[in-house]
Amino acid sequence: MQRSWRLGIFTVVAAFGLVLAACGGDDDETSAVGDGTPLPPVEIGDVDVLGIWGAEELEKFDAMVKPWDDLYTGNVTFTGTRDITAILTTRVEGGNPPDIAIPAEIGLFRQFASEGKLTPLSACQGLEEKVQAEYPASFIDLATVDGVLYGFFMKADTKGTIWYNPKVFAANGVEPLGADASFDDLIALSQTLLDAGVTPWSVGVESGAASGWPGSDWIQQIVLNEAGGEVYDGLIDGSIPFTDERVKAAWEQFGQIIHTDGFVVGGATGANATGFQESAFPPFESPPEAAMLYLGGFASGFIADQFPDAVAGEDYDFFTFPGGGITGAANIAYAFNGDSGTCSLMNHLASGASQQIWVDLGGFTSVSGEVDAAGYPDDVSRNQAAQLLEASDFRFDLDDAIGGAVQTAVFTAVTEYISDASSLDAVLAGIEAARQ
Amino acid sequence: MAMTDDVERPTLAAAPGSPRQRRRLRLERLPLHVAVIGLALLWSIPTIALVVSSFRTPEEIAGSGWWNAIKTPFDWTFANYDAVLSQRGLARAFLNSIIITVPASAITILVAAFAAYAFAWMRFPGRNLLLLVLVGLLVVPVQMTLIPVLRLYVALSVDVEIPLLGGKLFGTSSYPGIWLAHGAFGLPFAVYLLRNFFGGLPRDLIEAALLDGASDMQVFFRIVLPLSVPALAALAIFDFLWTWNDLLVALVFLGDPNLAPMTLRIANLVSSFGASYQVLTAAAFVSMAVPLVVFFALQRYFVQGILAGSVKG
Amino acid sequence: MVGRRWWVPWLWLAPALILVGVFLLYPSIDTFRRSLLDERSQDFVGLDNYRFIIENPQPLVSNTHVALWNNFLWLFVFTALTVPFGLVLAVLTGRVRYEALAKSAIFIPMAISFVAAAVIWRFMYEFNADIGTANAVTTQLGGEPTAWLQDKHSPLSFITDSGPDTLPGPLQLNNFALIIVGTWMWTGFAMVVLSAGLKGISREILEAARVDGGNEWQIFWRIIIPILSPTIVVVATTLVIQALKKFDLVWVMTGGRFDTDVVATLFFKEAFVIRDFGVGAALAVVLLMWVVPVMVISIRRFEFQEEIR
Repeated sequence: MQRSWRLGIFTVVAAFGLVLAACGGDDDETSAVGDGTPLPPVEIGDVDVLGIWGAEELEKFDAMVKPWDDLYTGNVTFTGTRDITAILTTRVEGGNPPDIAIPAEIGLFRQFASEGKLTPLSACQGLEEKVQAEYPASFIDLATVDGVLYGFFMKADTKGTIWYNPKVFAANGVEPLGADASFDDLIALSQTLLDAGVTPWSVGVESGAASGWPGSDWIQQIVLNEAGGEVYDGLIDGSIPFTDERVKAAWEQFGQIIHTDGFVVGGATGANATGFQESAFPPFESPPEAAMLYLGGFASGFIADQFPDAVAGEDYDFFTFPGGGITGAANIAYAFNGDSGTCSLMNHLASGASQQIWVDLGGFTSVSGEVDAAGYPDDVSRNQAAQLLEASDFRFDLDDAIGGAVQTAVFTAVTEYISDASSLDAVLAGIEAARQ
Repeated sequence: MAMTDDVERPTLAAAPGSPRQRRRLRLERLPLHVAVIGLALLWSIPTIALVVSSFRTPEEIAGSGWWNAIKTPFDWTFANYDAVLSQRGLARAFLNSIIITVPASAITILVAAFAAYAFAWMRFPGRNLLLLVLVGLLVVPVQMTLIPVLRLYVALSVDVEIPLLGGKLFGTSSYPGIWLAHGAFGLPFAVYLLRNFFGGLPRDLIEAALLDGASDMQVFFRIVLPLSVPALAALAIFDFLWTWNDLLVALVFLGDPNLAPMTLRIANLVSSFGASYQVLTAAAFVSMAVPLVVFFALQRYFVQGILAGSVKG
Repeated sequence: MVGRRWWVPWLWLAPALILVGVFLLYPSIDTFRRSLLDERSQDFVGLDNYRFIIENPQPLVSNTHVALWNNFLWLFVFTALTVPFGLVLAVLTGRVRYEALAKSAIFIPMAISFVAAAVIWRFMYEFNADIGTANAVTTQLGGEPTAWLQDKHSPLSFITDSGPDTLPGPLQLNNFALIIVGTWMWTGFAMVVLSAGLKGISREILEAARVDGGNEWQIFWRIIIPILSPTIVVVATTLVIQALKKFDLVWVMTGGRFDTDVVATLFFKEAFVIRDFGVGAALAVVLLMWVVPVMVISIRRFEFQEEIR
């Protein structure tokens, strides 16, 4: 007992020593401003930002705000959490909101805006004009509540990307589809691959409490391209119910992928039991276990992380979801006050020049018109930005736009439908029940 | 069950007797060893999997089971530990965790011990009902308390910087604020456990002391606390652990990266889509080191028969 | 008892009562108030939020019936596994030389953060049999890979082909898979607290019993268990309450999906994801009420302890 106790102490002392050694050289709080003539920093308070980023994203965000930090006396205190809805709700209800929030969810933003908790962009000098001039109209509309612009989208992701292994396609003599293809062409492509002995799809919808969202992404793309934008918008504002025949047809088309024997790695059970991240791996393993997967633009990050030697464009690439209409999601930045520090940082985050920093570092798709596309590290990421900005028809993520109880109901409906194809009518009615 | 212990050796005390006798005992104790080692191994499987995974690359983790690392020549990598330990500000976060946890646990234990003494050895109206309410609040989920407490803190905020320690004097982004919150969250269990142990102490001992003119304070510090060392040690272990591993309360009250504990730093190792989560395997062991030391250190106080001859059968 | 001035006990209690009052009681009362208000806590809606829990109108969003049944399952199965395991381990490890080592093997899961525990148990339960430990074992034995955390079938159908495919209520494979993780984490707690109690039993009593010819089995049942019973009650009560408020583990493993929700996860979902504070608060109140019978039983135990000492 004594010995293991001492061993424990030793372990910790050693671990502590390691920690200290590893972190010895990080006292860079006193940052020199500029190299030659140091400008005196402008007096401004700290700005408290709540966001979702961690790991590399956080480092790149830090790089993006570094010029701002250098210019002012205040610092950006960034708190990152993946449970941002809960933390932001708690802090807003508790009367202690951050200065700026940058979550991925727009339903929450709408609610805060309509409750009068947010500060309009017009409260910051020049900010509204800048956003109006430099951002696409569809994104400005999304950030406008009751005619007032409250936020801007600073990191976007297209959800119109079908990722595939070009080598598997070449070996089996199939071509990626063009944007003018139809969903039936996608089914035909899948069948061709299956006949050649290749499992066409990798699907994984598991994502903790939000399990089902990748399936919801599938369905929203199909709704937009097969049923059209009006049906899509109707689902969001509630004028078209989920039980509508056109919507049901879209779910059944998703069912064609998920419930056809041999189309999906692990079948429908596998789709429900596989994490969305892990689902990005099978097409690019050696040997590949599938040919394609459908997941948003962020999937390129999963692939690049998992297969560091894979070359974008050669080992993995994407083609546009058949039909040409594109859905996407984005982080929206909004402010809870109009203090000089908050405004100054909002201006900084909205500017193309500062977003360019993150664009150049990779892993960032900007919708600002001021960002130079040459900065994207490769064609695959450049094409994602182009897809988002040049889409004939763009819509914000369906369930994110609805939010709240209906969003939760959609996710549950997706996993229920995947595990039991016969439950479709019941689950669609269940979504409508959640509209109250 | 393996209750075949010999008569002479109720504990791990060295066995007397001849070598032959000892051999016989050893054989008789075989089922005991099988049971203990078997259960310990069974419980260790996930832990071992975590240890092994922490030394593997992301490709390996997502490509093959952890047991493959044991079967085939193992390609060790310290990349995960490197990612955790080289995080900017980790040393400060480590310090913050200690700054948060030690006073918070001390508050819980001390305050609970006072209350438990009153519940166990004093008579006053409504005693049992009060205990019921107090301990019943153990069921309150922390999430439920956050918004009301946050409102309170915003109202009571004292915006004076504490020298050296950092943070405000009280309210959000303040250490005293989070000490009290954690101290309170740990109280129901602490009062419950200590009330039970204090109540089990022999009445003769305590009443005799009081009749001899000892004050409650003297009885509390000189008799009750020393006799309850195993319970206090067990409580300290868990209270320390729960506070140490907390992420939620810190996220709400101490979001400032300069004040935040290690759990928050570690959570930030994972990207918004959950990428590079394999780093968490290494982070688990880095953050576990301190609670384990507390466990080993306090285990010394689990000594058999501290109450020698004093508990009635 | 010795005569004291009436306010002396309150002086000893004051710090605890103030802290608990501010940080736990006041939020509980506030929650009760909110449970009678609408989703934004503005208008009085009477018992509508409680009616929501009873009528379960939105099973795809918050299946309140499933959550209530699952709480029952957790309550019984989790406690029934953890307390005996903890007791047996506390008794057995006290008798071997490598006590500290064996105990730390059981204790470590308690020290692992929930996030890390989730990482490792997701590997245990991973569907892909090349990676998932449980499925690797299953397929080695000739079975099919199982979606442990998603499968709502009965555990019996997994063990035998002849068993019923589904069982009523919460008796789902994935619930049991989660409870196993809970048991893995919390047995260390039961063991440590019980072991602290065990060390309080004087050596003389045990030796006297042995001299009187009692075998270990009799000593365990007739001496250890009765003396330890107050501690067992404390441990069992704490674990019952842990089972009731179980949140972190379910939230990080399944998020309550595939009918694994419990009342605490539904409360969180309603209050912080869907932002219906009314229903969320009502669920929290249900949680609070559930604890009353548990506490009444265990406080009786305290009264009993006072009578005999």
